[in-house]
Amino acid sequence: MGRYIIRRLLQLIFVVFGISFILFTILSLTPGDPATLILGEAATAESIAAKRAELGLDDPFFVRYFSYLYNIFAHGDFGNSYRSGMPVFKEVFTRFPNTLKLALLTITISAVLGILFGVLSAVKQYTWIDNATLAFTLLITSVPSFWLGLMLIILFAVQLGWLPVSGGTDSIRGFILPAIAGSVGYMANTIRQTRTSMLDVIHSDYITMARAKGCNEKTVTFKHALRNALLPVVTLIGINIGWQLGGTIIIEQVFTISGIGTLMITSVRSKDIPVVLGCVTFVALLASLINLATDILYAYIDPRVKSSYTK
Amino acid sequence: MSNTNVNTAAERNFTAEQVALMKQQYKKQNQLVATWRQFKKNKMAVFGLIVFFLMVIVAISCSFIFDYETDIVEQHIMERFQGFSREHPLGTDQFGRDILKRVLWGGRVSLFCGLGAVTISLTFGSILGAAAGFFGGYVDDVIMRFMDILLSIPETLLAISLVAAFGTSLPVLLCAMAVGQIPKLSRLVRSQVLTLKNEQFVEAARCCGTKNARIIFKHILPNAVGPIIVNCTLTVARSILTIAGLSFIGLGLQPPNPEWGAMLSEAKVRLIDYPYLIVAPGIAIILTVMSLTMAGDGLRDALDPKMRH
Amino acid sequence: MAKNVLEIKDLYVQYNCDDSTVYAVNDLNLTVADGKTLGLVGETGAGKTTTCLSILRLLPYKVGEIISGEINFMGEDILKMSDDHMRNLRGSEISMIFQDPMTSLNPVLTVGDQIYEVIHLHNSGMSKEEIEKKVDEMLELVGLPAERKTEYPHQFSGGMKQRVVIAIALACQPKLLLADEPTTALDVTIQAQVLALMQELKEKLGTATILVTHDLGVVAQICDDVAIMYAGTVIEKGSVEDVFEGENHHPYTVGLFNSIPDMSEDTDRLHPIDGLMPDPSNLPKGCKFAPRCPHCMDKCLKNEPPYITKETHSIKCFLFES
Repeated sequence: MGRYIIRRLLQLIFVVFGISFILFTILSLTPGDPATLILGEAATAESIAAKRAELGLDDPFFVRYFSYLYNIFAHGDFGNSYRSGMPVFKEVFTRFPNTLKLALLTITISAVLGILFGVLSAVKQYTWIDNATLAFTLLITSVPSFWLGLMLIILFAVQLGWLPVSGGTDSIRGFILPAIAGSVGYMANTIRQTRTSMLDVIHSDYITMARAKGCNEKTVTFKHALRNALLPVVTLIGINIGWQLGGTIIIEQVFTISGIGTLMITSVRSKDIPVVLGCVTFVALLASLINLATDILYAYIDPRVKSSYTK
Repeated sequence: MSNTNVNTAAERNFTAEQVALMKQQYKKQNQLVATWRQFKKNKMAVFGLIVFFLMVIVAISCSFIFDYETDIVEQHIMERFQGFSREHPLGTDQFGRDILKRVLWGGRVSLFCGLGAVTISLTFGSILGAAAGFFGGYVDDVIMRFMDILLSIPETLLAISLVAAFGTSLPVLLCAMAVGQIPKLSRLVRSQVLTLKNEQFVEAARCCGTKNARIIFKHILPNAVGPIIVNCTLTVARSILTIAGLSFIGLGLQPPNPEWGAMLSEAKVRLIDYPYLIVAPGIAIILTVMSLTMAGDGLRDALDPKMRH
Repeated sequence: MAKNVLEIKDLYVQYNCDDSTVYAVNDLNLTVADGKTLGLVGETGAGKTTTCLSILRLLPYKVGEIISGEINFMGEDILKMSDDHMRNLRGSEISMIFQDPMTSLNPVLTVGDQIYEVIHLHNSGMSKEEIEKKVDEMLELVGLPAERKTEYPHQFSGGMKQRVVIAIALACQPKLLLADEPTTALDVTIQAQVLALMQELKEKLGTATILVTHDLGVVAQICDDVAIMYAGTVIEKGSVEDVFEGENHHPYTVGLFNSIPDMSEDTDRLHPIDGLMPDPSNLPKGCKFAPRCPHCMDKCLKNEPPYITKETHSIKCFLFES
């Protein structure tokens, strides 16, 4: 088991380097002069030149890349924001808790409801429940999460006044509508995957065998079918968490939540490259780590995978 | 081409390879017809296809019916926030512009973006996937590793990075939408190429010399085309959602462009006082994406041999 | 006279598919005597598995339908039982072994758990320790070490998996065992082992068995009675001596026996039966075998032949009408 974990960690490190390299390359191709951006248009040519030297902007590409990496690993220094001068790390970390709360709530809603509807739909295949669920899934795949968010605001916040218009407050009330809006896309693919897995499993021989032993339908569904069907769903949820972290941007904008998403948007608009790079790399890294954790978890819960690594 | 023709052809001393070719063509024609017949059975899929065609017609005819400057962009402050009327079936927005006309033109924009994104991802995805599958070995490893890394970056973030670096011009946006879809497509093309690389008729053709390279293309395409079209249809749907999202947060198409996401972003500002502004663009997005998804899913089911019974 | 454990009378079963109906079992009549093994022989598609699933009422929901007939188990009609009563029967009075051992066991539960389950389901009075002891006993009975009960199915070979399945099926000492081609998916040496095991258990526990197979050799080895199925109905049945050595046979049976290659003879070609089994969604009128029968008469194409019975031997054919 340990060997599997180590192997995956090495893969992760490779992927992380790859991600940082790609992102660094893309963002270093941004036209415009960071020094001018920081010092303003009125700055003198000397001060600009001095600033460029300070930031190492005239160094060749690979020198800049490796010094960037070095700063991260040696000092935990992701650079400073062009706009505010504050360390990127600090900017990201002060806003991360809100994004995390939103992401966790969103994933919980999408996972729980997704699995529920997926199982229901599979067990009641060919009935109206199955058709209704499939239609529902199709609908929510096509609805943009931000539009749903706006509609929810109109209904619950403006008309009914039950929940606040903008989120990001300390209480969880501020996160409910954003989480619902953001969860629909992931709910749809969770429903689909759960349904497909369940259908596959339900038609297996060992399910007929379980019935032949005298098990009632409830036992067959939960003890035998679900435990097998959920295995691929676990992997999917892991992937969803990663994508969810990237997708909070739009929801944060709709509900004015001060999170990493809003930070990213302001940074892109103001060409604050270090912050953009820091945000995107941070989220991508987190997504990869979660994928790794999911894979390891999967290896534990599927006896077939587990035993192939613990001989 | 009926089966009897093929058998008599064999009797007439055609080469074994020619007979194989004719059998393959017979299978291909049959496959196309069978797929269409199966597709037709799925009412939702047919509905989706019809809606999509209607949208294409509307999108094309927009430039003939409306004039961009006067109908879409020009502001008539005196007429703003009007409700439904004969002159403005969906009302007017905060700048007095007719919402119906803007939504219809927005369809043209969205479809264009979707098709543009698909073209880019199809081109690069196919080339990379085919190269990886065909050459194998080192080339395959490098390309697939690269795809894995691209897949590890959440799609929205990748798009935003590109926009951050290169701005919100149309080519950049198309690339931003396409780049997230390339890994999936290249993997699809690669697996098709790998399967077909091992088929016997490719071996046979190769033995007969390079003039049969044309035959190789004629064989590879019919089998690979199905899943790729499904992928492209669903890609167009995803791209439309992506561009709407990007425009909504201001990192996509900018106002006064009547892109649906941009319209929603403008409507958000007036949300509390004039909530009706978000209805039309939202429904337009839902309808478009839903019809494309239905058609794509229907096609996928029609191609799947397991579903045929 | 020994009682009949199972009596199937005039059973009709069909599958309702999207665009067609498959008539899998047509006018099936069959009996299994107490403690005896009945070999149910037929080609693929003859309706053997459907018969077994019908006995346990495990046909696919909505698609599989028992149209009419009686299945009398120990005197009671299974088709008239309530769902609860049926569930009590399954696994404890009537058990089934499936064809493919690779897919019959739940991959995420240990082998011990799966045997435990069937015992626990039908013996709510037994304590945990008692059941665990029984699990160990069953494993030993089928020739597997009891320590392996904490292992998962994928850690066993095909033959061993099938032994586990047999252990599960026999754990509650059922009166009737339905074995659906239990050795088809195994290679020949393992086949012999599993068959020997089944023979041994049959003698020890006295379970009546329906052994579904398409292998006449297996029938000769361990069956007491034989029923030969064709297109959903039994066309010949009797004791093993009747069917293997009797003087009269259904033309299909003749064809079956002739198609077995003879080691002592010099032949250039095999002798399969001409033609194909009819499409079960489009069965011919009259005798189902008539289109392929070398002795086909006019009335065979129009009417269903009756069962002509001589003592224990029944043949469904106009040829033997006296």
